[in-house]
Amino acid sequence: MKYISLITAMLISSPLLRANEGIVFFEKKIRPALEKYCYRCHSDKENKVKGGLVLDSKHGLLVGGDSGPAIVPGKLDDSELWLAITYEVSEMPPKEPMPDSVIADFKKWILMGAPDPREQEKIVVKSTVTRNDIREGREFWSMQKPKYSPSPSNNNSQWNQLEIDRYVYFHLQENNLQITPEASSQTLVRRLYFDLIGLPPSPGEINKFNTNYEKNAESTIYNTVDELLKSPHFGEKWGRHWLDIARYAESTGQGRNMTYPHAWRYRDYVIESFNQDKPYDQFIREQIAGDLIKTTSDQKWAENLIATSFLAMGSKALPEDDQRKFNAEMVDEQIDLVTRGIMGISVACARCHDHKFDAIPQSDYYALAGIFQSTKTFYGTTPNAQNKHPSTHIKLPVYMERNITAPMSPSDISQIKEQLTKAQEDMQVARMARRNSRNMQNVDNNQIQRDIARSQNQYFAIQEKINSVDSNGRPIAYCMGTQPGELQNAKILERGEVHRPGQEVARGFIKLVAPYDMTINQSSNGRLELAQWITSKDNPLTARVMVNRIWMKLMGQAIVRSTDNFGLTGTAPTNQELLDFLALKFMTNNWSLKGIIKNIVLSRAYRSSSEYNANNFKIDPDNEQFWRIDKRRIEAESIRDAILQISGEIIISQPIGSQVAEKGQTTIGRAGQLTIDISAPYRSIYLPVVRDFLPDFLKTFDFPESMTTASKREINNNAAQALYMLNNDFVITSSELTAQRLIKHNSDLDKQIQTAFIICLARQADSGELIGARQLYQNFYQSSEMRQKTTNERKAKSLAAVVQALFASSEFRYLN
Amino acid sequence: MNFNRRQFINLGSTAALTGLNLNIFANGQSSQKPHFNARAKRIIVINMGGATSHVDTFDYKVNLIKKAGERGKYGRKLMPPIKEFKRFGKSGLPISTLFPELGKHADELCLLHGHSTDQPNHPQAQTKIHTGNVQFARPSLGAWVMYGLGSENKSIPGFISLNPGAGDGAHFSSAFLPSKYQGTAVGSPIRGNRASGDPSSFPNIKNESFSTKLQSKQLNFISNLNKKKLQKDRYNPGVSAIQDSYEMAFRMQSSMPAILDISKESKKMLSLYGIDNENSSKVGRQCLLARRFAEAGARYIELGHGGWDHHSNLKNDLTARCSEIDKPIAGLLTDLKQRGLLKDTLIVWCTEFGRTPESPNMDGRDHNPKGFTTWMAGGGVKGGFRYGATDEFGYEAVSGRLSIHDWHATILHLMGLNHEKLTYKYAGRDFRPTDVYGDVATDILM
Repeated sequence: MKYISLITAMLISSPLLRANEGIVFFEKKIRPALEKYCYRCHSDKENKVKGGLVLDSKHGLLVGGDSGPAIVPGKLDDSELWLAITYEVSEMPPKEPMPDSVIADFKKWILMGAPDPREQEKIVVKSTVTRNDIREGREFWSMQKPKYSPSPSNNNSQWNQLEIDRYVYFHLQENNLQITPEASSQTLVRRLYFDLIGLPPSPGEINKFNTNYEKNAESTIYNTVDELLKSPHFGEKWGRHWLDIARYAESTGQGRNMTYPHAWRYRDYVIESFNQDKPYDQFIREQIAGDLIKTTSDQKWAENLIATSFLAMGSKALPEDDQRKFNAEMVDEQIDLVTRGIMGISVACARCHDHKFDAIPQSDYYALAGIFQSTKTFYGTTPNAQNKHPSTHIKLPVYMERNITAPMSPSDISQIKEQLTKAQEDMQVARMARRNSRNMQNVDNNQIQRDIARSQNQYFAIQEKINSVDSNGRPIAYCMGTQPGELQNAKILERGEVHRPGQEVARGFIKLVAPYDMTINQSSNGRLELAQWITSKDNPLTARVMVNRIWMKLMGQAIVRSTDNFGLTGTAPTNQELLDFLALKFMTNNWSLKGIIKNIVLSRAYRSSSEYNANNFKIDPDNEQFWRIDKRRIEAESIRDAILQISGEIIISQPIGSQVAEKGQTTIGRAGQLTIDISAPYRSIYLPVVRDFLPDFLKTFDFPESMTTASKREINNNAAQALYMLNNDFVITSSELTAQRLIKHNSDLDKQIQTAFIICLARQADSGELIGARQLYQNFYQSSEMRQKTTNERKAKSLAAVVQALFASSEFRYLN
Repeated sequence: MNFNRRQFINLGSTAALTGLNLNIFANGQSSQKPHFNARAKRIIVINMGGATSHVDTFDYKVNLIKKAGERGKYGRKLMPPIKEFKRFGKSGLPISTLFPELGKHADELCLLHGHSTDQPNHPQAQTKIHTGNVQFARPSLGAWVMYGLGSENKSIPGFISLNPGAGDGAHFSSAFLPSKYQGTAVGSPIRGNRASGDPSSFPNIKNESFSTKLQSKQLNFISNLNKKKLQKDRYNPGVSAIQDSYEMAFRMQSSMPAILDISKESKKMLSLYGIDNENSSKVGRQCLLARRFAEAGARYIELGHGGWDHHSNLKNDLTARCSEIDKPIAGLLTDLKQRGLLKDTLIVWCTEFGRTPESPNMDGRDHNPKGFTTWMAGGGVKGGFRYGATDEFGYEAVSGRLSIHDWHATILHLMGLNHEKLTYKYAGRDFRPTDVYGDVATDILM
């Protein structure tokens, strides 16, 4: 204290002189010490900001890092830097302390008031986007509300019944495109089953459909559609489309790849929402702000909390040293998800500069960023040396029927608590060993680190077990998700660099997009308002973007081809009247997804054949006007599911949890320590989605990487897939199991072959194909390598060769 | 022709092993005559994803050093190259000392300084350098080359893309060209970094259940099913791609394992490519495989490395990236030369755009589509040669300007293909790789 009063006295007597002296002292003693001992790990210039701390600017020193301000001028005990260099709380520099004389300099300097000449310029980020630009931007077609245009009637009885068809027909006529005939009933039944539930129709279902169709086509389609929309498998097919958009995955990816063992609850929530036909606006609101929506029951509250996993399951770089960078990345990922993923506009590029094409100033991005900065995101992952950003989960308020944890007896609980105590001791011993090793020589530091890591992992694993039940041993369920955080506005970052913060921006929305008059009450974090703004009927994008994607899934091509980009650089709709009609219909029908899907599949346009028409192809090769239905490659999941169903191996019920859930919180090692078992014959949507270690079947057939939101999948037909179909054990085994089923069912070879064609392709073999199949069968049956086998084995393997060929055929993989 | 013997052996062994009637695959790739005689018979493209800074590597700007720290034309400080340049070889080409090994091949290199592109963002700019068109799905340059020249060895894919990124399908797609011209991906990247995946094995390459002889019968049947479907479908690239994919898959079963197995390469050879050093082993492996594919008769091979997007931390990261590619690429040039292959193999080193001479933070550079550098070597281009230039700082191409279409036209010309005559009729219109553009940079031809 004496020190301080002395300095104060000096300050009063000669402030200018004192300030100068302070600066001289800083330049002479402190700056060289910072450079020598600290900058290597804590410098913006070196791009090393361990613990989020930068010491190469005055601002950095005062703001400090994750554990608080590095320097509080005049106060030693509040200055983290002081506590670190004196080895009080943490130990910096880590290898050995600074010399005592340098420590004394720091003491003197902090008590002097930490004079620091390294003033930072005040950053003000200017925008080039004017109000006028925004006003003009709002004139763009996609920023205008969908408008109803009466559908022009026509004199073709087939195309005049439904409005969808009238819009399509009008464009066909305008473009001199001929009408394509209807697809055959056997094509239609396969199309409907794969499109609505993602599984092939069984021979019985094919037969029933074909027979009824001959009698009354309309009612047969209508009834089949109704039935399929009610099937629990509908949600498994359509929920998966949403999981692509939600970039659903069960691990963080990126460097330290750690599991999300509770992600599956969100997967099931999505499936269930589609099956219930939850209104899409509500579905969106729950996912963005489920934790903020008032509910009347705990059950519903739990559902809403699970919904917010949507925001939490992005890929994360856990080893990132800088907390601010990590947070900025997470927020960026969340912004991209809700803007591009739901509204089809990319706002994320406004992180670093004004949007180059659409009138989105950088400040709009940070208006959204403030909303997510005022949100806490829970995603689990236990702490370890490479996980700099461990998090926890949200405890669900009710007991969940579906649970992967078994209840525990009181003795189980006391036993496991003992284990925890033991593990804690082990951990302390390991940490003590590190402390003791500091002054010793010939120490195996790697071994010490490994011991610490092992004991730590062990401790967290046991703790997770204890946390999985309540004091009575009843399972407790958790989810990922969001909770309101401390309210804050974001600062615009110059060029998006976290260490270049400029002025603050109030939380708000994208000014380009309606509704324009909605604002955020600055006493709330704004996430609920964001959800309401996105799902407002005045928002010109949300409904359009979703119906466009549904149309693409069913017709093979979208009306706006750039399904994630409705902005200036996207493509224009090829039939805007149709798009707007669908969007309006969707909203007036209480945002019913099943409703809009039903509207489309009952249309004449959906029933069109996929066949080639030379005249039409010349005019419209890309099928922009939907003169036919595009031939569509079946998605990876459906190819696998179909093979499993045909072989009889499929377990059609929904499993509880996932393989990742069973492993709990852990790290997926470089070699994929978590082995993924794709032989578990559940539907593919239930396979574990571990980033960087996707199930090989799905990956080979173009499953998305799950790194960012994506509504459209790439479609490749390549040699890797061909080799999979020819040589992979899963395909070969499934073919043999199918053959055994066929043989059991019927002893006649021709009938076996015919049934194989029906179950695989929903049609009979023609005479040429039958002859070819018989020949292949004989080739195998007569071959020398089959001779040692029993007759039954020979028969099964020979028939299996035919079945495998059907699995491998292009017809199996494509919808006509 | 260096490959006749090897080609014969490959085909012979395939046929002998399988007893396969090769007629069922009669529509596979085969070699065609070029439009005119050219030196380059094949091409290896080395693609740097993320946009390599030209002013720090191959485009020497003395004024950037003299005026370092002054304000540049976009208002930020000019940043000098991160490392000094040196004149290499007899030709004295100025190249950054970031490339001590590659510099030794200066007399083989033809630096193209006059590049520009109209795409300022990475994914679009990458699509642009591969297909020439960002708006529509168009065939990649490799597919056009395959369409023009066919393949020299029917039992391997003629167009190989080593470790392409996820979602980069357009980079080796055939779009509306017949699907047999599409590239085959070998190896996949890990976490988006192209050179990170190990391409040395190909999954499901062997059938463990029955012999190749029986499999060929099965393939016959699959082929008949597919062809029948194709007859009904007429124009359908997806379905015909599946058919082609089986033909290729079948042949790859016998050819690929041998090419991908580098265990018999000598220590000296591995060291030449930098495979003995962890830092350079990934790109080294790709370069070695590229040579092996080239030798086996592949026509178009692309490999690459990502992580060049250095808005900040340029000094550290660019130095690291350069050290990862320097030895491997130099090794490839040395090896091709000693095997007599460099004269008819065109090496193209490229990136999607350049970086700004000025810096936001004096340790990083932003995107610069208006001027950047690529280079070529071997295959009939002038060595030790600089073509085109950017302005005194490297902002914009000012002479010897090359648009992406010009560059494509030039590459095709070097392969003996006239880009204006290389047309394909699709939907009633003749399409060509360069749309209605493209001038060949004749000055660089040997």
